[in-house]
Amino acid sequence: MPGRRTAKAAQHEQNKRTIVELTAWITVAAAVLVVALHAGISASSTAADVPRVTTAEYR
Amino acid sequence: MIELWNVSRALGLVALLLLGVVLALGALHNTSLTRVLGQALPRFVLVALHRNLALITVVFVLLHVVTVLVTPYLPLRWYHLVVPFTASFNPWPVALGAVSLDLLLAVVISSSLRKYLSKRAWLVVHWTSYVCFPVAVAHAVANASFRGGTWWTLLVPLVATGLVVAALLYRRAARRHPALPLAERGRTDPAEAKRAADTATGSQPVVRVDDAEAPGAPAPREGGASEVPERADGANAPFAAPDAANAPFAASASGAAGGDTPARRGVLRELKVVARPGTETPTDRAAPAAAEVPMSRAADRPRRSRHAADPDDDAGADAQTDTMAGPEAPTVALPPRPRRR
Repeated sequence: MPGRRTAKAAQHEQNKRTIVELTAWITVAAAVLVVALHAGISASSTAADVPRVTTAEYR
Repeated sequence: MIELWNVSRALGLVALLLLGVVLALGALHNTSLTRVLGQALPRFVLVALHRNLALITVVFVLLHVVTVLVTPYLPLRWYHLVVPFTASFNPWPVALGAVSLDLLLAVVISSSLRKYLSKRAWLVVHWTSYVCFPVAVAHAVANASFRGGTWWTLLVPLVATGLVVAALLYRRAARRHPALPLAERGRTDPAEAKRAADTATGSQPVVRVDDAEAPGAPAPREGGASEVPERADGANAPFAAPDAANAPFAASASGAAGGDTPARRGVLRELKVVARPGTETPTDRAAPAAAEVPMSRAADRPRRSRHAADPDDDAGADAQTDTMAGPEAPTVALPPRPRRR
């Protein structure tokens, strides 16, 4: 049945594209989360959050 | 340079979150949730996603390590991050991070070299990820500052832990389903196998329609022979009853009434076989050791060999049906049994 075989091959290719797209989207989301966390940490960070740095150095 | 320290913290938190997602995907592998999702996403997609996300997690962890090494505020060398308890600064949290990094690298390297390893060795190393994750969570919590303003970053290990715990609980609940009874484990329908066993042992040789005059019953054949549903394999051919009155077994058919019904066309939906002991048929003369021996005369039964089937014993017909040989053994297309890891 060539029609069914063609459909299965197309579905397989679609699934492989899904893997790549999902991986890419999750990577992008992780990168965005890194930026957001960095911004949040920088905004809320105090001298006590930075190791081996005195308060004067932090300022 | 303080910004680099903040970047390192953000990278470590995202790596921990990704590690939780990877661990949850691995824990849910081959569970019913995966099968439900598998209608939209096949299983190999989830497995590939688990592998790809694990590699991305390693990339984020390495970025976290590199930024920690580059930050001038932390007196750490590369071996402090690989060998536990070698750092003099903040020894316990750094040691936890080193142990977590080593376990993660072991899991990734063993998965990369999986074809060179035995399955058991790979599995033992792979299961250390269940140790790697809590150690990484402890590393994140121990490094968090409870005095500063970034205490809210503890939400990330909390969310990751919740993901993993929920996945493990779901996996445990999915494994708690009771096992299938023995009679339902085979690939053969037990009811169909019972009918086939009756046919194979001769206990269901002939059927006759009781209510032949009923409107829905099939018309009798010429010569007084009753209507017997024809089977494709001709299993009923040797058992055609010559006379309805002398037939040792009677059957009542339940078919639709009136008109050109399936019953009138010779397709019976259900046959109820009633034995009439004491009546002799050509089948009885041909096979004296068959089912016509009364139950009360068990001592008079002819001796059977050890491996010959007892025609009166159908105790195993419901449970053991795969071993039946011959064309009468039906094979019903049941869905394959779920594989257990």
